[in-house]
Amino acid sequence: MGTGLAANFGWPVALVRMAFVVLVLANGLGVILYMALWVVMPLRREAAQDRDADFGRMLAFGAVAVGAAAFAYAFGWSALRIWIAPLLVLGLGLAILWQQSGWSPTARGGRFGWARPVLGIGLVVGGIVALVVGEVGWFQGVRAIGVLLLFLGGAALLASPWLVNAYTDLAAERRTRIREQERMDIAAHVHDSVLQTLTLIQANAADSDQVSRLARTEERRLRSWLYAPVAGEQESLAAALTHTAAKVESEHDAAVEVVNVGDAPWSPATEAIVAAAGEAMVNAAKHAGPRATISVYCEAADDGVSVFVRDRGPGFDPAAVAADRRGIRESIVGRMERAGGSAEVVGSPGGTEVRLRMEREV
Amino acid sequence: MTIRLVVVDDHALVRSGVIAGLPDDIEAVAEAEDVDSAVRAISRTLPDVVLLDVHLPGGDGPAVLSGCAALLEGTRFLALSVSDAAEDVIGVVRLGARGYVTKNISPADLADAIRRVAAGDAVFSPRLAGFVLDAFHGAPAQSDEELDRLTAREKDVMRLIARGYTYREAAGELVVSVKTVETHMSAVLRKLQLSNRHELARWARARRFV
Repeated sequence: MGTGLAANFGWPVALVRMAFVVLVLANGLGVILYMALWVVMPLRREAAQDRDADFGRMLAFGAVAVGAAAFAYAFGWSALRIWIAPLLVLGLGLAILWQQSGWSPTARGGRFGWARPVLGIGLVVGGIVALVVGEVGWFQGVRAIGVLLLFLGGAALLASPWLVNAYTDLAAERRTRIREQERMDIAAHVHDSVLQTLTLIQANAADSDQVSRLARTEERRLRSWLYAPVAGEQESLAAALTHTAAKVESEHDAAVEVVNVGDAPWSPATEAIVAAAGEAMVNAAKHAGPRATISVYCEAADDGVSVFVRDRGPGFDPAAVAADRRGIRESIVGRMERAGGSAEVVGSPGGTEVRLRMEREV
Repeated sequence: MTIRLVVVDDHALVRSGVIAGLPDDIEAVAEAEDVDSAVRAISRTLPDVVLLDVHLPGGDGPAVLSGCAALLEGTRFLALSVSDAAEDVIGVVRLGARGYVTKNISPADLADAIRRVAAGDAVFSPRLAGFVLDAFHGAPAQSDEELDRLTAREKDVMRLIARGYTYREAAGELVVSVKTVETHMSAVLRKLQLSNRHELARWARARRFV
């Protein structure tokens, strides 16, 4: 309280508090002033946002309390008992309450965040009770406090619908804000991806191959953004294979459908099988005709990993063309054998299938 | 015999695209764009096959299946989706859909899938076959029930479907008849719908279909 006043007017805090104490002791004017200022106090919330100064402020309050007690002691115990002590308790309680950053019940406040309001309210109530009892005696005091409580209870009852409304409004507003944030994130993503691609598609409207390639790439990207778990491209066999397929799809005019069953951690062996599978996909994309659909099936079991890359192209006899197909011999079969696996290319009228197998190393 | 079809999709473009690509032996008797109109149209026309989008306004594809639960005997559902998410697909299949295809399927393949479903067979896309293999992978944790396991032959069929083989090609590869492959597929579909395997229950729960 004193801090707020001091901050508002640029006076030293201690001086303000001294003035209060003097006024209180003189004729009770301080009490009225204190109460009046308390009403205007919300100003302080802007004035003192510095939470690091919290502890220092508490220390200051304590010092003021001790000082005031000593001051009162000089005037005699009776004054201390009836006026000063209750007022000090009351003031301290209010001060603690106002130190809270606003009145929101959800405000952050560390592990003992709840202790401060409880302590503050306890002190304020205790101070009021002591004041009333000190003034009119126990019998009258209890009755007066009873009436006061009745009054406060009635007021609380009257105000509660409004308070509840205010609280729900606040919660609703927070939810709206979160939703708005999400919407903006999605809008940003759509703008960077889908809208750009749509623009590109309009620009290339005459080139149907280019259009379908753009659409396919964007579909894959959007799909992975919507459904895929967050994973790096080379964290596991399945992720790497999916990534490789996406690359083949965007670089060649083909649709690659990857089906993964099980997964395996990244290792030199899985790296080899993914590289070989990638080569097989490129081969399939090149030879199976435009807009071919390539099926990739990968099964990672306890005993090893199998990958099948299949296209529906015209098919060929690998033995007959192997001589000029360095791709198959070197990149697929050779690579798999060097890594301790095997590869087989099966051609049929219905298409070509590359079968890769890597036993789990013991 | 003409197959009577109801197309349920919230995108008018998709509906007209599907209907334009239908061959002569499949006739679209009604269209619907949301859950309520779909349930009404299906109850009124009692079609042979419903082509059902998994994602619909006013609930999802599963809501249509629930709304038509009494009709499942005479009407077969084929789920159509752009989604590859396991829980979407498993959800509609467990509520009674007899198959699942993605929207990028060619008109010829779609017609083939509709005929298959109309004949009472199951239709699995490669990805759905992959999900099935994933879900039935390993030994079941608690129970040894027949429903919770795939036979070696069923696994072989699922693997070939996942590899992109057609039924006919799979039959050729396994040296069995197409009819045998279809029998295996129906058995897998039944297990997929009735098994209480943990993985399936988890998918169902994720979409609150339990």
